[in-house]
Amino acid sequence: MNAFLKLHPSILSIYFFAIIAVTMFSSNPVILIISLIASTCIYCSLSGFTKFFIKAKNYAVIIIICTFFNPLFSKNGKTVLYEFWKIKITLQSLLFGFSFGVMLICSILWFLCLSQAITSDKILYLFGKRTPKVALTISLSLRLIPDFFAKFRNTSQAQKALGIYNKNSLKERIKSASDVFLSVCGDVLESSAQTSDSMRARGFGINKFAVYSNYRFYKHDFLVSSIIALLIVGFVFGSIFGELKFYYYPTLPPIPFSTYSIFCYVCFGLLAFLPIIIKFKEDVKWKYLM
Amino acid sequence: MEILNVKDLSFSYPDCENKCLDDISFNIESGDLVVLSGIYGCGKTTLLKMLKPQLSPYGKKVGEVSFNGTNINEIDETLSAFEIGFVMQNPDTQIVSDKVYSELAFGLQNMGLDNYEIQRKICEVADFFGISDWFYNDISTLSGGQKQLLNLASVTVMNPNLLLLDEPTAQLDPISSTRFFDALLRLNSELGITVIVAEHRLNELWPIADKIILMDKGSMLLCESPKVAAKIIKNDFSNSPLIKALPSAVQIYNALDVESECPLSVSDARRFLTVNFNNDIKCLPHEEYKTSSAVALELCDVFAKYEKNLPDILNGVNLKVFEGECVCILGSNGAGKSTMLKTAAGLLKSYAGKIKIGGKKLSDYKGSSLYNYVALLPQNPREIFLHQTVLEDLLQVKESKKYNDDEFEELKTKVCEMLNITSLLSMHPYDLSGGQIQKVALAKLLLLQPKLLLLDEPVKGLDSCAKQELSDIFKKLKQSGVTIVIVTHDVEFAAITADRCAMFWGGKITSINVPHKFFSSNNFYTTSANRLSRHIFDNAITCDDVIALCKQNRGGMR
Repeated sequence: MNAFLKLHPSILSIYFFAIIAVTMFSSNPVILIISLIASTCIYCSLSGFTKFFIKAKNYAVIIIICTFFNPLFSKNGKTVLYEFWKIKITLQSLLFGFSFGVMLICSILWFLCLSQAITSDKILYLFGKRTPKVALTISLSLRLIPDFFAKFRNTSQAQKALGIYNKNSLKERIKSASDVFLSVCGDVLESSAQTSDSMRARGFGINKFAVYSNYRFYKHDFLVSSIIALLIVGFVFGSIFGELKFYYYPTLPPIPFSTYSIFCYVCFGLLAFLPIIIKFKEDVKWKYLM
Repeated sequence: MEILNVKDLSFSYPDCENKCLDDISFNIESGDLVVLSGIYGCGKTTLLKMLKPQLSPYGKKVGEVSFNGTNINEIDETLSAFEIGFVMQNPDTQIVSDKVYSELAFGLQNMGLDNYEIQRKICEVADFFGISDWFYNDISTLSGGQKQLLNLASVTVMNPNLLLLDEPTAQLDPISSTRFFDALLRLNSELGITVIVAEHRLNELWPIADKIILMDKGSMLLCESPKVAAKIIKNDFSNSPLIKALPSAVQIYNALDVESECPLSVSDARRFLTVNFNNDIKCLPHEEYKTSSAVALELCDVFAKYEKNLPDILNGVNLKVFEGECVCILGSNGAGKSTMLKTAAGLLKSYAGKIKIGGKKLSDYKGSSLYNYVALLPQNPREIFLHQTVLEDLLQVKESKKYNDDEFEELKTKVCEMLNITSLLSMHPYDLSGGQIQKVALAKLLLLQPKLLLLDEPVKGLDSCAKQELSDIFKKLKQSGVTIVIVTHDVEFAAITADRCAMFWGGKITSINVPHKFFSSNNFYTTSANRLSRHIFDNAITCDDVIALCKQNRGGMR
């Protein structure tokens, strides 16, 4: 997966934006199946099979809940399977709930992949290109917040070891926590004053704050980004002409399989499996080189 | 070529009668390594800040500082920001970014360089300082020593002519600080950067410095080369508390009446001893050390870790501390010494083994009753204080312990007199110096009347006077029946303070013995007085030991 993760952050963000948007707004079962398989594959190769199997149980529960709760809220659909009191359970609403559940799981998996691919420094870079000062502020707070919690933990431990606050009564506990909180705030304020001294000592504010980034747009970044762009354009084009839409109510239509819609599926499939394709290409290339 | 010239510089803070700096004049040649020393409150920090316009405090200034021949207040802001580098004491608070590489880039971003230039410079500097391995790491994963090295690197990357450092190693352990000084020396000798470093640990810097500036109460005592400085101190300031701050070799030379050149390094000092003294009497008499029979703290095969999947920090610790003794536990940073204290104080549960405090199992203490017997001083004494003044914090103890007025007043007076802190009671805890805040924190603990004191690095960052004072206080406390366990990496302090010293390594105590046996059986982890007198005298571990032996051997002086 390394070759994919090393792509330029802006390509990664466009890629995930496109994939997640299509997954979330499409109810087409073929698109959803492609998205589910691709996201599972990518998640597994990023975090490992064991981690996926630990989570798979929860995902199954989510899909079951979605499937069986949808009929309670939706009375649409013609094929009634079961009816009691005023609740009709229809085949269509069960299937819609199921596809909604799958869509939810796909989105979760894509977001998990995104959080591994786009790390905090890549986010900083994406923001910082336009406004370096915003990036600096984010960077400062990324350090400040964990620092605050560490100080809070240490100070409450120190106070506990003094045995001054009686931990049995709720009132005392709240008082001790608020005392510690105020004292830590003071401490953090004072260290921020030192940080600002250190910034001034290194000439902050004299010139315009320049942009610095580790990321460069390589030749293969250009290649991959044009492939992604072509696939997205192809997909949009195909979905305008072809019939991609799929309605569950009132009766299930046949799954769209016109020339245009097949073209769309291929475009989306290639896009979704792009990280796997890149990985495969790198593996083959490496083997060949060795 | 003269890089810095200070002429008749005086400075006082607003609303303050006393002059913080009084009529200071000196000049520094380009490429010099200058050590600025003096005990706390002598004005070292203020003087350094006056040399960096961006950090100069507000107040009344008389006199002139010129940098490369121009008055420092008239030179261009760009020049003074980037040509004069400043490294502060606290490794954490000076860091701006959350990643190592972006911290290195920060100064260059302020210079407005382009991306390519920044990349080139930070790679170069990362290579020079050997930080390429953790170039992409989060700042939060670094140790204190690495952070301070990063601070030095991120100042050096701007290519300064003059580096000012304000006690850069005060918060570091000895090994990290040696590494830091090595890097600093390379900057000075390989790149020719002029360095002024304020420091009170002189053992390492004194022999290699070009100039020593000694300050006392805002005025400059001397500005000379190390050898000349040693002679002047011997002749003119032999009773000053500064004496204790000098390197062991110089201290020994000063106490003995020998007409020869002052030794600076360990090898010089060995030559000095063998040439000038014989060693008929090899060791001082030592009384057999007896412990009391009652055990104050006992750890038996204790294992502990912070999380289930993390490795063991305590790996079968065995330790017995007897009532009324002072035990110093030595070991490098990150070995788990602090974790051991936390476990003993019940803040971290051990998952195997037995801990007994005052003969009673830790689990038998209910609620906070353990803390009637034990008190823990954390590594950062600020964590003890929650209120606006020291007195308010002490009153907090009065409330919780339910002392009546007379009782509290009596106890407070006793403690404050013993620690000599009566004048500090109305101050804000954060405004105190390192030594003062340790003493005040100790006062708060003592008001709880504990039988067992657990102290985590109480002498970190203190100058020699403050250390001596704390050592005396611990001796007094011991006499009043308090048992003291001190975790420290300061071998010189342990040698003068401890009844027994223990070595902590790899999650357990590997050796424990009385100081003179403990240190003389160590080859590397020992005091500098022991290192320089090794093979000449036996069991001499402090400067006083060596001096006493030399005086006894005087009769047979060659």
